[in-house]
Amino acid sequence: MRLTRLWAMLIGFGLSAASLCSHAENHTELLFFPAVTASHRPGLPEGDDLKRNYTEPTLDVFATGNLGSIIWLSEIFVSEHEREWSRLHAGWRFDSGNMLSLGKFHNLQGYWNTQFHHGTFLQTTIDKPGLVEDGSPIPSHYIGMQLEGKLSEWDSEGTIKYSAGIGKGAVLKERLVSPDIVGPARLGDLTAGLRLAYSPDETSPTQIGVFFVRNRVPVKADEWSSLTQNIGGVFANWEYQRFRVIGELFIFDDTLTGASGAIAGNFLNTYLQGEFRFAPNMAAYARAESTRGGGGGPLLAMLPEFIRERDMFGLRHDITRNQTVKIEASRVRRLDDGFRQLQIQWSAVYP
Amino acid sequence: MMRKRFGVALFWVFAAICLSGTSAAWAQNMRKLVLVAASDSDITRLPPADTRRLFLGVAVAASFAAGESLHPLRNTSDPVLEESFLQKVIFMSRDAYERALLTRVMHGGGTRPALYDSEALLVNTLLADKFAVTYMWADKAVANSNLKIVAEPW
Repeated sequence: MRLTRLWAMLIGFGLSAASLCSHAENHTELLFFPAVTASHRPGLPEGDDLKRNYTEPTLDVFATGNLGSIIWLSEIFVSEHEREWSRLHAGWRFDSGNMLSLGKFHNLQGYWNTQFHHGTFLQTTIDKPGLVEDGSPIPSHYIGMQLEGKLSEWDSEGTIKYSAGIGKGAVLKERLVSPDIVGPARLGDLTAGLRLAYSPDETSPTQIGVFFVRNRVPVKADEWSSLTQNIGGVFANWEYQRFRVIGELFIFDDTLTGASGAIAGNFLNTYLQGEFRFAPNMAAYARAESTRGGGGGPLLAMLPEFIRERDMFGLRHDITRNQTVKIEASRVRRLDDGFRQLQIQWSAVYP
Repeated sequence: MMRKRFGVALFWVFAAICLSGTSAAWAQNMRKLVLVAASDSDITRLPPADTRRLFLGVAVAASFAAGESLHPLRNTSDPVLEESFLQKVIFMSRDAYERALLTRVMHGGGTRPALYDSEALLVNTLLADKFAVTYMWADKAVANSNLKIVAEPW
């Protein structure tokens, strides 16, 4: 814990120094991503943690910059229920295509978790896929080291990008709790991940990729003491003119260990999202999410809030360059229950 | 006879005025956009693909200095120039371009290309940084002996 705090202080100091030094050189970025979401959930079970009618403001504060070949990044997410330093890392770019970083990162699982982070304005939809929301069976952050860059260039334009990370991950209590760099210690055990993505053009958002992550997670609930997860999968994001398709497939292999022995389970989770921009500032979208296989095993039984299935559609209207309004309807299934949901959200980025 | 000559002269004067006005307007519309660096910079030529990558936030290595990348500077002093740049180099609308830059920064950190509303300040910054590249109208680049053209997109 002392080391963690020291690390946080060092990076914090580095950020301050970087901000001061680079201000004159215009090498820092400070961005605010506010959002206000109003939700109406008919059919929500009585006594649920979620509320039937609810309005929630959130704010993501993002800062980044560089000092020569050192690139740093900090992201703090604040809502009524959550205050989290979700990312904080500094990296050394040792050539134009590769970088080694230390700090707190988003896990290398899939596309959504590494693409939009907490910048609600940047994602077309209001809700993230269930797998990257709170209550899901994947740990979303880790503290450690990450190496990323370009592995090779294909036919002079196509690129294979890699990301490899190792560090300490989450702890499983009532849900998976991310490690934090400030506050009480809750560092998990070893986590290691690898992600490869091929893009036909380095400047294009279109990409297809694979990932594999192994997590060892201390369990502080029920009779279990540890969880070992092997998670592999594929993802793709395809954009062509007015169309966009995002899809991910996760394959889980979990083993829960406790005083009474070990129990294994496996399941699949997938989603497919389609978007059509029918006017320069208007887009329609739909997404289907599904979880399949063996009832999900004991891990999913411990996570009743996890959204196992969801069908949704919505509209996004970019009202200005940096503000958007979205409206979204969805049908949600969890472990034991389900509900319908109608949401309206305003989100923005400043400046 | 005198009246006829006067008429012919009037016609030619009118035609000359019209033609010069039209050609000035045509020249204004057909101003050429170029990529420039400081004349003492070691940047020689910037291929079109690298230009686009550079201004979309991808690190482009400086061929003359190991481990160093080029620095893109956005010239926002002239809306017509900026629009030409987006259409002819980036191939995106302004909103799509801004969002692409935001997404890249949000994903991996670093900074977006710096914006300069003042061309004088832009040129001063360019002259002080041998890794910096920007864009401007060709006639302005040619008129400044401290600058050199490193790419001509169209």
